Amino acid sequence: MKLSDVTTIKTHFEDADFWLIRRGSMHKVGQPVREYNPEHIGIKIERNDLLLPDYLYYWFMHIHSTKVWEQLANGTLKLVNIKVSDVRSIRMSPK
Amino acid sequence: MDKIPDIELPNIAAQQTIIFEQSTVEGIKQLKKNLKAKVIPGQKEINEDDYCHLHFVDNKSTWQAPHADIVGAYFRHFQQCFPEYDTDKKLAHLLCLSSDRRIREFKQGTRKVPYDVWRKFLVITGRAPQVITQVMCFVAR
Repeated sequence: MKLSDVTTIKTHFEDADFWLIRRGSMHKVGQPVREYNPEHIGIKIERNDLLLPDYLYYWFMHIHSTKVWEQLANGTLKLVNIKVSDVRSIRMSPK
Repeated sequence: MDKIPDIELPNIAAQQTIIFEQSTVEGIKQLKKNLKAKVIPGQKEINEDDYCHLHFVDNKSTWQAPHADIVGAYFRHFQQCFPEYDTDKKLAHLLCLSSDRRIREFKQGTRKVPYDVWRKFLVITGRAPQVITQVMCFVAR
């Protein structure tokens, strides 16, 4: 199962549960935030029976701290971005 | 996509436990960070000694809503110090109010600031400490 199977993920998404910084410094991209910005990648959980928004938020916080996004980001040294498709295709494994 | 690990998906109860743990960790981090907030000079628009101080009291039964002059002076001072909240709309959002009209009404004195809104503003500006509510139990769904 992919993350996109249980969520809606897109930019310009004010109604999302939270957002990931799509564009910015290498240090910032991929960081989850609670404040809306149309440039950010919005994530809204559609299957609350399977996945809680705050659980996913903290998961993204953890992933951001591991600097995974830095390996996937594209762009110049100062301004990089991550792809919506990379977020959508994250896989989920039931425990 | 092999660089991003899979999301481990435990059941909802386990997710809630993790959320409580993580939000507590984040809360403690934020409380410690709060202690290092910058110190800024107070407002100079009015002499606060000319007004009642009961708006500082953390007790709803004795608390009194601040005078409009206090509200206006405090809000304008905050908005000058923090340009990211330089409009009433942005300040309303920070204080979880539905519209900037409320802020204007508070400043003009046509509506009294509710206790919870004022308390939040006092906490944000370091004029009052935060009180953490005790969790007495976890009620299962």
